Amino acid sequence: MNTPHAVRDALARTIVGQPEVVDGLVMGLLADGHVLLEGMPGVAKTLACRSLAAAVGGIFKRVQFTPDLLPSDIVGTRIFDQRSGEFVTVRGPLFANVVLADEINRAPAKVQSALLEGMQERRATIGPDTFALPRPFAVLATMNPFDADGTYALPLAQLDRFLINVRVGYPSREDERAIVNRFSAAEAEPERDVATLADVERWQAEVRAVHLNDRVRDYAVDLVRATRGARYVASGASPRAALALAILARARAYLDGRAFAVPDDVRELAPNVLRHRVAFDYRLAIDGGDGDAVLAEIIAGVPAP
Amino acid sequence: MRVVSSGAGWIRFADAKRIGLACGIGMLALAPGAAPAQGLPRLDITALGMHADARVVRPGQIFHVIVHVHVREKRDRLDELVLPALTNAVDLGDERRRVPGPDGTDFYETLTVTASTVGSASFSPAYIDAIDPASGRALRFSSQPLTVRVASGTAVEDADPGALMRLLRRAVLFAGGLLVLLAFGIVALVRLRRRPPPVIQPAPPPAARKVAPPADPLREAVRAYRSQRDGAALDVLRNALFARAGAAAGGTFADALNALGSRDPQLARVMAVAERARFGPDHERAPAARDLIALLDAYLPEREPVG
Repeated sequence: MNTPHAVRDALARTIVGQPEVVDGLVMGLLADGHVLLEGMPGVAKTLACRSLAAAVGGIFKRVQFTPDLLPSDIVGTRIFDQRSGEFVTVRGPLFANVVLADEINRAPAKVQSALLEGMQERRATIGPDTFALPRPFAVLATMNPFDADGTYALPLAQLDRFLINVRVGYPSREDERAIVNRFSAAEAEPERDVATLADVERWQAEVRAVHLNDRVRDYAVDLVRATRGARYVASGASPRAALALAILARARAYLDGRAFAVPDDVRELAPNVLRHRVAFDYRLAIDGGDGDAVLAEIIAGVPAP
Repeated sequence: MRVVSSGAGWIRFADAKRIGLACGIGMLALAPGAAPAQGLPRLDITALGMHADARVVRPGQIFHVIVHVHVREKRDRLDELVLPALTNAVDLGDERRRVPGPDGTDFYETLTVTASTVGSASFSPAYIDAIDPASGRALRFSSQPLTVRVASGTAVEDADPGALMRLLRRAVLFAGGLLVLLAFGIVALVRLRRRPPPVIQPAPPPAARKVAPPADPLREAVRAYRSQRDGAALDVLRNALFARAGAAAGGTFADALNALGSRDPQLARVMAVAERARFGPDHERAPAARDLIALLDAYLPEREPVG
């Protein structure tokens, strides 16, 4: 019987020096959520998403988001079949088990919202028909937050759809040397079919059964509430953030081989859950502050049980 | 009817039964000797005296003058007592003390005074005005006057002659004692010189002093958890375990593991079980609590009982 550790190990063998990215992707998969990867170009964001899709099998689709992209390019469309004399539905890349939305902030808002609607509702409407998206279904989106030219910033309401936001940093010198050694001659080839879609669905069901103690739940709620009205924060995280913390804490516990979540699960995941859900005000920019530092301060201010 | 005592200057009334006084200071002030005794409070005075706690003082030295009155009645206060007038002395304050007893009530009025100049400080008698119910005559019952000598400096000649004698007696006794000790010392020295030198046995090493171990928060927490296996006690125990691992106050299991590193895997196991006992599913908590106690018993050094 396959375990999520097999997927994690497979990803770790392909994605060198990014354990947080690997864990974030696997936990997002276990929690049945969508993952947003943010980082500079060339830090293996896309490779990480491809590796995850390859590891769990199923249908993988990649969409490179560009300014001229249309919603139908994502969801699908209806075309007239001259032979049959009828309109037939052509499903778009959204109908996949793992969808990679590369550089999601380079497409206009209506494309983003077409994708995000599918993410939330887990179904898509093409013409008069509505179709359920396949199970399991995960959107892995990448974004370069530092290159703002020609981008369409995602509003908070849409960012909130992502369960977790993982920052992809530069690897260490040692890891970078290993990357050059391994991949300079041949392109990285993800490991395929380490687990099946049935495995993933079973894992997801087992994650939902992980025990969440009331005090751990309260800790998650208190962390989310602490973002509201905090210094430098224009708008705090929504209740959906508390839900995300709860399910991700379960996923982390499951990945750790525990049948129950502990406060550390919540605390460790809080930055990645809250980062894209909190809007900082102008004073942070004036003071030259860093959003992650503000979040760290907020998290540190809430005592863990 | 009254007897004057010697020394301390007490005035003692011979027989209180025969004295039977009804006092009325206000009434006496208005018409001494003419007012009827009926209706006035009755007071049987058995003692009225005054003395000082020093007979010779220096100028500026504080001393005390105590007026004592004993009455047969159970009285809460004795407003009828008139305190002495002071000459060449300054009243620094007074304190009244009441001591109820089986045979009546004692009142002590302590005046704190200091003498002004060399010579003598004198105190007029303290007194109580009253009416004799038998004869209807006004009476004044008073203590004797008191005089305290005020001497300059601390010269011996200024001191109390009795004290001088006592001092001399002590000096003689001290010198005598010293002489006796000296004689014993000489005899012991002579005897020692005649004896062979003793064999000196090496002194046994001093026994290690039993020092009470400092209070161990972990042991205390285990003890508390053993007696009350609830969430609050477990939280205290978890915190004690985290502190033992080296985590800062308010730290979590992860902080404790980071602080612990690979130093003490047994402690890491104990902490993990503590987390299970605290946050595990309901059906797992009781077994986890038992495991926790068992692990702690094995973990705590010297297998010292913890509860």
